Amino acid sequence: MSIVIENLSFTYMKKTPYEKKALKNLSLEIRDGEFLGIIGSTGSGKSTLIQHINGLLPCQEGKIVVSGIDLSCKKPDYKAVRKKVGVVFQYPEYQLFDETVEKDVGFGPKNMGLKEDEIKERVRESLQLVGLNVDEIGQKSPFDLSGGQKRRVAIAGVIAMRPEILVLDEPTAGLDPQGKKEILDLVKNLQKTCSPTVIMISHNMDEISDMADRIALMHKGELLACLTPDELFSRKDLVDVAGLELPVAVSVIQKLRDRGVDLGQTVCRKSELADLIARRVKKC
Amino acid sequence: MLRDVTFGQYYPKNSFVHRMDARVKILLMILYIVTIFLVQTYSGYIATAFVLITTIVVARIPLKTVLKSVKAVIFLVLFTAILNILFYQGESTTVVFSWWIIKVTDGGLLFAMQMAFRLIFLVMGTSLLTFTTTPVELTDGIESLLSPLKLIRVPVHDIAVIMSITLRFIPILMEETDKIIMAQSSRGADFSSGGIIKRAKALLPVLIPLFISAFRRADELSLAMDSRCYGAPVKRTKHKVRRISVRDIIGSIFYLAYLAFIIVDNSLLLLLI
Ligand SMILES: Nc1ncnc2c1ncn2[C@@H]1O[C@H](COP(=O)(O)OP(=O)(O)OP(=O)(O)O)[C@@H](O)[C@H]1O
Ligand SMILES: [Mg+2]
Repeated sequence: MSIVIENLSFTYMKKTPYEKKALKNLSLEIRDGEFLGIIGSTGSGKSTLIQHINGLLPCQEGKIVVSGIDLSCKKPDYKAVRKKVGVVFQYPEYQLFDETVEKDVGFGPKNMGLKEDEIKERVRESLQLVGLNVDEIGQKSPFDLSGGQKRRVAIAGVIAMRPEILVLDEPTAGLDPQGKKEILDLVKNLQKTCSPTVIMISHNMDEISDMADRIALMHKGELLACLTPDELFSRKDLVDVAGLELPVAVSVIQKLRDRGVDLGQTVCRKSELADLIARRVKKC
Repeated sequence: MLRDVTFGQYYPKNSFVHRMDARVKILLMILYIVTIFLVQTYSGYIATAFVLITTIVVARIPLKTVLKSVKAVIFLVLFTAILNILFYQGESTTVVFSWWIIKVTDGGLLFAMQMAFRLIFLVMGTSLLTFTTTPVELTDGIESLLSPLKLIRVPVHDIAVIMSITLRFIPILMEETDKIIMAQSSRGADFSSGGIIKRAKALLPVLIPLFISAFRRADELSLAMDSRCYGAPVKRTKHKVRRISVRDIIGSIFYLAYLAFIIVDNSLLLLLI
């Protein structure tokens, strides 16, 4: 079942001089099996929004229903929602804590109250999904791994709970290009194999328009639009208001247009751009 | 949320009092404390209330916020007041009420009330300093006031640096704690149920990453300081040179006038007797 958010508002440190409105009257529906990207400048409220989806922040105003679980009622069932929604925070490797990789990945399943052998099975499976082998690194300390490996272990720790909805907050931050590509491929793969619905925050427009079915654009706590990547980046008004960078493909199309070659449509993926250009060249 | 407990109690505003020099404010606070203990007459108390309220109004801090700081010591105030009423008789001994060894006199009542007001004024006044001065300004001010101690080789500057780094890192670590708690709760960690031992154990997944990150930060900071030659044997200058301004002089005059009034008032009292 889907995620429905209606008129959600959130204020940090209410009733103090530091009061900060982080979400303003935000409505959004996220369908099952969808890949939703969230973009917006620093401080636009992206992280605040996703922390609402599994009840880490209480719903102050408005309504959220996640897979049929109402998070805006008086006593929401946080335990249930946290089983359904797995959140990979920014720099998740800083949350590793246990002696061994195996124990760390097993932390979530253990909290769910699973049996010993089932936990073991899930740990093996999740590590495999993120491309690691439990026999090789299972008994190592998570602090002895490389940066990229740590991040994979941290992601494994989240998917070990088999969430239906996977939420990732800038999963590629601070990685080298190769590491970025690996993590993105991993996310795609996870959507196919274990968590059909994915919500991902990113600052990289190419990355997000390549992966997402729809993109939610946030600006100063408001949701400006939720559109497909092609639609979003052809809306010059939105791009200007939010001060977005453009995906490479879109900026190439614009530069061509400035030089008198109008391709007639806006696409975000490089492969589609190549198709457009190829068709155009053949026509001439 | 941990960050909801605003660290320290700085109340951001851009008022006359906020912009006064921290050193002057610290000295005036000491002056105020001393003066409060000199107050003996009703007019003295009225003058104190006047000085306090004027400062609060000029600092543009809601009275409610200042009164909140009194809440923390209200128990102490009531406790001393009750003890004073029950067991202190004062000079005039018109008995109002007596039972067993307890003798309540009007002198005792008066004294209890005076002490209570003294404590409340004291707490409100001192909290005004922290409401209007950021922790960094405070440490800077303390460093500057203590600098004569450099003559007897007290490492005043290093102490101040340690203090300000500590203050700087408290909110950062609080934020970090918040994040880690969120991450672990989304993995189903439960911090609020079970007995003491279970709860203490539940904190491990928060404490370990927190310590690791604190050590990492300390490491990075020391590298950064090293690479900027911290500790090189040259005299360091200040980024923000603070100068005494007209504001500080006006503030000082106001508080000195208050002290003068109390002293004159007290000597008048002596004359009358
Ligand atoms: N715990 C908090 N206490 C107070 N204010 C906060 C807190 N967390 C976030 N904020 C404020 O709320 C606003 C939205 O923050 P949020 O973290 O959701 O932004 P973001 O879009 O995720 O930004 P980024 O891209 O930098 O991660 C910001 O202005 C931020 O300063
Ligand atoms: Mg964020």
